[in-house]
Amino acid sequence: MNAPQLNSEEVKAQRAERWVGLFVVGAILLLVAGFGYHLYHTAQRKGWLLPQAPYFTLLQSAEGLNIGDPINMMGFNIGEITTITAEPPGSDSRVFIGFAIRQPYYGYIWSDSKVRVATSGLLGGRRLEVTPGVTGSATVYEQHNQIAELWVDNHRVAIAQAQKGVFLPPDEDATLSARAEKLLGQLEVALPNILAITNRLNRVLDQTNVLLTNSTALVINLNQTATQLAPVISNATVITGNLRDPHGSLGDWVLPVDLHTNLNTSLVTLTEGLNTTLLNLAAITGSLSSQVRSNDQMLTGISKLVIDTDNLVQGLKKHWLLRGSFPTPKPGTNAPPKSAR
Amino acid sequence: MNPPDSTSWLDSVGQRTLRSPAGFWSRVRFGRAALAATFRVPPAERATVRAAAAGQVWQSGIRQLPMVGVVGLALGILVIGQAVSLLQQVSAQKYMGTVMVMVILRELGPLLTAFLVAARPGTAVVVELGSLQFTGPAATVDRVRAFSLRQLVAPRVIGLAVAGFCLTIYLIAIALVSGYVMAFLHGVPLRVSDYAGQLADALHWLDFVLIVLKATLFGVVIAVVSCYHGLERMLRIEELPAATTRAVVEGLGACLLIDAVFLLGYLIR
Repeated sequence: MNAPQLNSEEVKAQRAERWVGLFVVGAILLLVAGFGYHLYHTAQRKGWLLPQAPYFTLLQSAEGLNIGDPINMMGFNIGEITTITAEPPGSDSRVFIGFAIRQPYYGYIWSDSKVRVATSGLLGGRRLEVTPGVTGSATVYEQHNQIAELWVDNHRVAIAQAQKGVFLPPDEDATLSARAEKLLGQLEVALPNILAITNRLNRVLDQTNVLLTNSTALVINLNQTATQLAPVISNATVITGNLRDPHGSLGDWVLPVDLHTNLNTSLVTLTEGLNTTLLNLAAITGSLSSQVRSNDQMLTGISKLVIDTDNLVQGLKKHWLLRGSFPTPKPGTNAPPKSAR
Repeated sequence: MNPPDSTSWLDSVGQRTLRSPAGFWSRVRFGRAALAATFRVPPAERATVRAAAAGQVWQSGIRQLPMVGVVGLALGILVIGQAVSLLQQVSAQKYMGTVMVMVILRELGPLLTAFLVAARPGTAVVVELGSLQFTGPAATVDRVRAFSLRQLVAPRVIGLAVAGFCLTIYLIAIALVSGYVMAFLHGVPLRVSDYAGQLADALHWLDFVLIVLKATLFGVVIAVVSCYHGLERMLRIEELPAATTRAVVEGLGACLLIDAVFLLGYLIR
């Protein structure tokens, strides 16, 4: 049985349908590929295919925080907020914040890690940042690349028994409104002191006013004094001018006109006196020289007299009458005295 | 020849004002009928309608691909060329993907495609249907029968909707690729994987839904408006240029209005 023969119009229509199918399928494939890549990238970015460890912290306020907000550590996006609920009334902390941290970032989180609530942006937004552990113990324990146990209340607990996750203490910055409220409170407390300071300032200003009045009077008096001193200063100026000018009356009085002549005369007289003194000194020196020479001759005479006296004495020793008075000494020896032996 | 009446333009404005509500509801009724005819094709006529729709896709889609390719290429180059010079000044090249997604994918891509579809296949539809008026097969809008709607309007609505959607996807794809090439030529230190990552980061799943809806809806609106003006009344040949111009202007205006409505979708996301 032969296949039915298609006419040229039908062949053309079939070809057109094929091209149209290709055209439509190509567009759909592009769209699906784009969507698939978007899903894959989002899954990677949000860690949908990775193990995630649950953590929680307790804050005073959830202001600026939303479910799905990223958690940061060391500049990386490591997880996201999963729960924000209010704590029961009367609790110490008011807001429960649960969040999930992806592998491998929970390896950096130890028992001494903290959740820092930092401000972000200009509009008072907040974000959570986890600080890496330094001295604590690990908070997550894995088996076969899956989370098996968590560090809860200083014990290792199976993850199934720790639904809330690991508690990380908060390090919460006050929100902008809380800070403003606190500032207002401080202002209210400080206001009485500020008023007291203002009162004191008022008193000081009053006193200053009096002081200024007195100062003004003083200045006026000083002005009058200065006015009165003006002629004195003028006279002093004139006197100074006269003192500077040697030909002035006072100059003449202090410095006589024939001062130079008198000085010359005195110097000549002094020089002459000095010359006379020098001549007298020379005469004295000459007299002393002749005196010394006379002394030399006198010493020679004395020496001769001593020699003659010695000769006289030697002669007297040898005289028979006086010989007994001068015994002859025994010849000397070098032998030591008997007492020394 | 009568001298021009000094108040004729005032009359014209008054007539348009009085006729606008009626014209608007006339278009709405036609659109509703056209869509009903498109979605309720009897099984016996489906093959005919499908063949006619395929022909319309061929005419309005595949044959417009070169033009769309050129426009997409130019769009990517222009947007990235402008964005790179600005982003490099503030060391914000990492926002290039965001710029491309916001400008090309969400707004300019669908709108430019709608412009092209309205300007080329849309005007062709007006001329085709307007030409059919005086050769007999078609009737005016007021007297148009459901059969004529299925045979004449439904294939064009389907064809332009499919063509609009596909051309939008191709234009965006070409613009994104050419944008990267432009950035590469500008010496922007950006790897393909980083660029793709930036695009993926900037995208939202709703973007994919809205782009499909928007592009398809633009095609449907342009088709309905063009068919309406082609079938509005018995057109003389000298009336065809005015009718095509009205069709293009009204079609683009409607697309802009729809785009504004879609903007709400992005805002409430």
